[in-house]
Amino acid sequence: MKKHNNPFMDNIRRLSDSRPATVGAIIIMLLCFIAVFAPQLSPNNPTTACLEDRLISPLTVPEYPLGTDHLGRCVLSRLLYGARISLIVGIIVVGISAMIGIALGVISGYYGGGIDAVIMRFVDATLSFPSIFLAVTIAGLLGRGLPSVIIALIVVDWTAYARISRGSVLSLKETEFVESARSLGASDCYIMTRHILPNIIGPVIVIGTLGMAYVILSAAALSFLGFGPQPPTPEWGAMLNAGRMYMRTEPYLTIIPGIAIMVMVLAFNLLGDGLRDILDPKKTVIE
Amino acid sequence: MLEVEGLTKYFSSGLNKKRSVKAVDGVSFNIGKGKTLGLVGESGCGKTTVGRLIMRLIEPTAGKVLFDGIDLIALNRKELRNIRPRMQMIFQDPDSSLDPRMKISASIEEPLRLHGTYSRDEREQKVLELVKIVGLGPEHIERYPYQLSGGQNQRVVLARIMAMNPDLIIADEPTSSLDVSVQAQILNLMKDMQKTFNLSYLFISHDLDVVRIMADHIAVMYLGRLVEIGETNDIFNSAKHPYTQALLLAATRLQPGVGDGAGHVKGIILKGDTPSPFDIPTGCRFHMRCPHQKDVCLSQEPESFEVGVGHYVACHFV
Repeated sequence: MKKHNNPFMDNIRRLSDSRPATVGAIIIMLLCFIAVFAPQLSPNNPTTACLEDRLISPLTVPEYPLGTDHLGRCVLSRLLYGARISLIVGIIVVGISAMIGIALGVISGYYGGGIDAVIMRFVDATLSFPSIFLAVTIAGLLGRGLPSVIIALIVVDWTAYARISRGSVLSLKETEFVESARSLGASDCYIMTRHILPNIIGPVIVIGTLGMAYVILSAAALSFLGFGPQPPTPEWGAMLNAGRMYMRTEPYLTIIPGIAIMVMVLAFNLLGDGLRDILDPKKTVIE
Repeated sequence: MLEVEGLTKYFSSGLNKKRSVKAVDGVSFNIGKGKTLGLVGESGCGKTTVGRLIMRLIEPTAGKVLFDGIDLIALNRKELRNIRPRMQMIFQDPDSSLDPRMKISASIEEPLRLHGTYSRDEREQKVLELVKIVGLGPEHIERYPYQLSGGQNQRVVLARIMAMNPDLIIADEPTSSLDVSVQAQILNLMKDMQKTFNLSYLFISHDLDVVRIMADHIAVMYLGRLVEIGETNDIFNSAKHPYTQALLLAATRLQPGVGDGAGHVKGIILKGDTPSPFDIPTGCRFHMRCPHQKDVCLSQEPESFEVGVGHYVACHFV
């Protein structure tokens, strides 16, 4: 097998060997495309209500390919715009959580002792609550709206990154290349940023990708419960909730956003599992 | 050059401070400029800990390490960082001594970036020089450690170390994870470098054949203490301590045809395991496995005394 001189390209190639991961990556790229070009792709304004056209079934009127909801808004347009919100929430929450979690986890693992005990007890305390319950409480305290959903999910989510990076640092700091950097006279800060960070990025990417799935699902759940962006903002969880009233007569109003959430979550899970397989050091050694 | 005096390290485990592992217990030796001291002993006897203590990668419980007259143990962090470039350590496993995410060129360049005031071009130039010294080519430097063999990686480690222009290198089993043929290459390279740059080595190993080639003096360690120290020839031809004799015999027994000095070492075959360092036997540490054991060995720890020029033995019956 030809050896690339670049581990990154190597990983891309190995990722494309895994069919589920490839499918996941393609769906995610498609969803990103939809989110970016939602205004161009949408047949109608997602927030314009037209009560004369309310509750049209999908595939009946060419103007509304996926029908309309109880206020006569175009379901397809709302779906496309909804991808934006889900992805943005996912990226912001995962990004900020990962930054906080990695920073605290690396410090905790590297220095150990008192700092480690304080940070890890904090993580344990956060983990001892059921996460969705904690998120609901925080979102409730902060009031409705997208920012409070984001903050609530960050509070719940950063612990995963702190734990995984602390664990990786604990084994890394005993390795000989870290000791050799220390014996070269490198500072703690240098060692953490130049040697430890690049080496924990693998597991963090896996947790981050799987975390996207979890965050998107949780954000939809919070919106479903009414904590998320307020009407008329198109959001999948809120669409589910609105459609709940018409579930008997117009089931498509819940099925369509439900499928959208499922596809997005599934795509991130597939990609995350694939990444976990290729970034698993044991498999790398075998190759 | 390097004087180690009464170096001691106890590891206490958990809450019970009394139950400590006496990993290194009062070890003293000297290494002269351009000389090599071989430190040998069974696994678990504390050889590696001695190396790491000298580097102050771990803090000793007691003792002095004088490096050119400067007590390393007394230095604060900043002073230590300034002196560290002058002593460097080679580890057992070359593959884990290099950051897997750094190119070879970046790994060799790292010490130059951390110390010294080289410009980018000068650093690149220097990397190429260093690579040449250790017998690698420019084609290797754009690769990653996993794309090189163990022997090549150990050469990279040597290049990285030589970038610091050290005076002392602590080599902790530098060849024990390599093939025999590659071992010889690395050992020769280390000897050449010693001659060229007048380096001092502390060569830690369990392999007596390797130590014999490399070392001017040999120190034999058992359960955290030195039992015998002397010139390489004295140790191989007239070992006094029963433990040293047993080690030599164990090494020669594996190669029946060896006819030189080592072939007719008198001694015993060791039975049993090394006692747990958690509870070190009273008196002489070796008494449980020693064929000459007498009452005095159970109660009194033997002092080390001189039996020949620079040849010290810690045993009641020499």
